[in-house]
Amino acid sequence: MTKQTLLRVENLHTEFRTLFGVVKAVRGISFEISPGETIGIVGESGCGKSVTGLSILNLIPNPPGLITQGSIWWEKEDLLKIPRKQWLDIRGNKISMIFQDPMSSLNPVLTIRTQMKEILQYHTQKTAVEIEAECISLLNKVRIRKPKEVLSQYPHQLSGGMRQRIMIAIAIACHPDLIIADEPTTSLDVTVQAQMIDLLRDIQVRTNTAILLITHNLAVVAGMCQRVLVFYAGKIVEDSAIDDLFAHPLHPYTMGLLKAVPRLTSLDEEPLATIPGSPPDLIALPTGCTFHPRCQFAMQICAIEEPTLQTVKGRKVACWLYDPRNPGRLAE
Amino acid sequence: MINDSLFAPLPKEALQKKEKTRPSLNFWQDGWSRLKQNKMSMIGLYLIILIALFSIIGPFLVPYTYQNIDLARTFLNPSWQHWFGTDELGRDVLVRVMWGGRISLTVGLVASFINLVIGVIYGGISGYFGGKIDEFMMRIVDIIYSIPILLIVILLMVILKPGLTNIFIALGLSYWVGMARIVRGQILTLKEQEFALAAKMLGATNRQVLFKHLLPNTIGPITVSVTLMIPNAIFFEAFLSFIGLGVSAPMASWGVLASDGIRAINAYPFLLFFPAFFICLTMLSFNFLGDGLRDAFDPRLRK
Amino acid sequence: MALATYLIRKFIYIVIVVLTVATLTFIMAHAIPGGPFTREKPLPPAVKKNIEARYNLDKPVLFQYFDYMKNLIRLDLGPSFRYEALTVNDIIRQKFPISAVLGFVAIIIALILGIAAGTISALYPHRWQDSLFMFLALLGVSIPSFILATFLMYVVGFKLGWFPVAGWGSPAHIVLPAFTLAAYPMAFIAKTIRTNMLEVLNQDYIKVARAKGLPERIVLTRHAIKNAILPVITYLGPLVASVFTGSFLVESIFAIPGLGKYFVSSIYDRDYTVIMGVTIFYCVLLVGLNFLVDISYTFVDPRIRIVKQND
Ligand SMILES: Nc1ncnc2c1ncn2[C@@H]1O[C@H](COP(=O)(O)OP(=O)(O)OP(=O)(O)O)[C@@H](O)[C@H]1O
Ligand SMILES: [Mg+2]
Repeated sequence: MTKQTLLRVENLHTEFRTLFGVVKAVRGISFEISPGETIGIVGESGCGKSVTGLSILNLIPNPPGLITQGSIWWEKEDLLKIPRKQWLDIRGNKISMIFQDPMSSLNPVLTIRTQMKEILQYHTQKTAVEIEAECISLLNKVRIRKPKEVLSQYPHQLSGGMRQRIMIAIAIACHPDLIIADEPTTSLDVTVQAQMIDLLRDIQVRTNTAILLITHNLAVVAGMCQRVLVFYAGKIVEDSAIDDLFAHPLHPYTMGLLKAVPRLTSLDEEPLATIPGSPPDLIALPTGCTFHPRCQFAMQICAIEEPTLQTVKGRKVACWLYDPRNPGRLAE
Repeated sequence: MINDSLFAPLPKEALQKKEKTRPSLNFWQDGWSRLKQNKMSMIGLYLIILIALFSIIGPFLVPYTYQNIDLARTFLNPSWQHWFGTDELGRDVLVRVMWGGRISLTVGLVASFINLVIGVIYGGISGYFGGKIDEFMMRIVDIIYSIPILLIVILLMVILKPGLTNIFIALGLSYWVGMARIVRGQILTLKEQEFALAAKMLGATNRQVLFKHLLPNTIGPITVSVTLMIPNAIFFEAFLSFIGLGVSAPMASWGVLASDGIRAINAYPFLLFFPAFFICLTMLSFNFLGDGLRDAFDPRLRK
Repeated sequence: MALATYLIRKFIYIVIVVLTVATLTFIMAHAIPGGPFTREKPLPPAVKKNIEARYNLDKPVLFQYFDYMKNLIRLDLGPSFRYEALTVNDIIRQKFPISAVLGFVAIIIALILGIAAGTISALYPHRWQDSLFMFLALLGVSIPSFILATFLMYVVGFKLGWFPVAGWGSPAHIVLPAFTLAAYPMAFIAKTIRTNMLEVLNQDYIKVARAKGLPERIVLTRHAIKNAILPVITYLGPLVASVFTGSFLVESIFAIPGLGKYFVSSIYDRDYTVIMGVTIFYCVLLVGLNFLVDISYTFVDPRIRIVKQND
């Protein structure tokens, strides 16, 4: 049963030093991904999902951002310690990323051809002719019709769906081992969202690429992932297999999230913010458990000390309700 | 350490109290606190205050007036008696520079104010009413905008004859288009936002909406634009002086003093140096301040 | 097709601007007491005859106006008000080439140095390079051109003797005045490029380019600089305007026999017809150049092409 690990994130801390104070966007995140696995990250807006993804690729803008602690293990190397040059070999080649907004992800003044070609130029030894052929075959893979024409076009001439297909094509161009997809569907309309998910799943099955899927949408997670990490205020509050999570959420925040998605099979963008209260201020976090001000089960201790991620029945959750010392521990 | 009592439910009132809210600052406080962090703009602000004090109070402290002619003491180098030296009529340059400051700063302030008034009213009306009115008004602005401002000012000054009032008129009449555009743009975006709609639904009249709700929100960009307009006006006045269209003797703005100084540059460089120094310092200070204000009041930065 | 309608619309607009300027100058000229269109004034008889014949001063004002316009359309700007043998057209033909050469050199200097300084500043934000260039840029927008001109003339020309102090004729004569003229636009361009560049570097597509594993050099040259420089094209119009109006002072100070210097002396002389004619000439020139800039922009930026086609 011991699987080998592709990526292991350990105790990652990322913060932003702004005029108003230090924004602690990610505060000690640890998880691992095995080859071919699809993991989902869910959580409210601003809880540090994108920052985690960007940290893995060392793309945090500095200043103001800074990774202050932790390590990111990839093939026995800590990515946070390797020299800059080596990064270039990993980005786009071993790990690639798809961003949320296809409208702004492509450079408006360059043709699609230029933007596709360059990733192959830098990571492969292919000749110009081979690269051109490869671009066309990639566009075919993401089901774009008339790939030749599209290559000569500029981003503004294409629809959002088309652009996101192109971003996916660029992401898979060098057969990476891991794709980080940061809300790849959020800004698309519903039918296109379904197509995109279909496409990603298809690619995943065919190439056995691991995917780290960041999303607001639990339904998307349900359809694609084996495991889910639930983020709250820069921490993982629950880490659980997908079926367990839906059948029996442990963390009160997860319970709230699930209630907020009435129909799991639909891809409708449902607002998650139906959990009462507002997301925490990352500059001045609540004491203790960051969720306690919004938690219906809050206890004295929740306001005093922050719970750590602990294994409960083969799943992980950070909540005092499941602490062995809790006399009224939620029985299960 | 951890005991059972800690696992008792947390009363709801405790939560309310705990929820920390950062003190919410109003527009000016927020902008001011940002501005204070920008060293350069604070230096600019202090310099402006110093220059203003120098010009306003200075003449009372110097034992000469700007028109004291003393033909026995012409072209004296700077000394303890005449800190900035004397000019070709033996007048004290220091006091003339102070007076020049009064005039130049007045030109800057009044011209900017005229601009502000015309620009805000014009742009406000155009943006608020939109549609055909807006289109027509903006066409006019476009036309004026494509004519170099300096040429308009020169033409106006040629007709109006040199003099302080006419400089106000010429600068005021030609500069407002930029302001009108800024205001209109702001109003157009703000108009769509909910509070304008809400105010209208509550029965406010057009005028009330315009002045109470919309204009206050455009104040950031307007402040910046006015701050940058002042040095511009001072520069234009100096320019006009140089081509012989400035204020007339015996009064002299910095521009007049500087252009007189240029004519004597080889023999008496100090005659140019002092007014030029003040012009540059003033422009620099306003630009420092303006840049800082732009950053401080940039609506994109506000959260 | 769509581009053609766009161009036609722009052109009509230009014609309106020019007509407006011409009308305004006409009205202004009439409004000036002792101006060219006042009939009782002491003038050399030859000039007086010239003016009266030319402007039909005995006819009604409206007639004069149309006559004036008709001449403008024939590109005839009329005689000088002060010097009987000269016409405004002659003056422009003689003097403008000199201003054009000077202006051209200044524009090139401003563009090259401005873009370079702005880019470097953006690449090292808040480091010494940035602070240095941005301080120089602030000086550039803060020092009035006539002060800078005099300073350069006095220090670099007169005291150090590196370049001729004044006059026209050799390439060395161009250096100081061209640099003076370039200072303001150069500073402005540097600031604009820096702002644009910082904004562009924050865009998603830059993040994507980095995520592709491209070397930073490529990210900058291919993905960032072009986007940051494009908006500067729209500044070319004001740039030219600033250089030409700046030439009024700079040519006067450096004693360069160009149109700018002549214009200033005709203001001193109250040579009204020359003032009017040169004003119209500059307006047409600038509006025309702006038109060209607009057109070239639609060709350089792929986004604009579509926007225009859609509307
Ligand atoms: N460049 C930055 N400067 C300052 N703060 C930042 C920056 N980037 C992110 N943050 C802060 O980090 C926190 C986490 O942001 P992140 O983008 O990871 O949220 P997210 O979970 O991806 O939210 P969303 O669902 O809206 O994408 C936010 O509070 C945000 O304000
Ligand atoms: Mg995000």
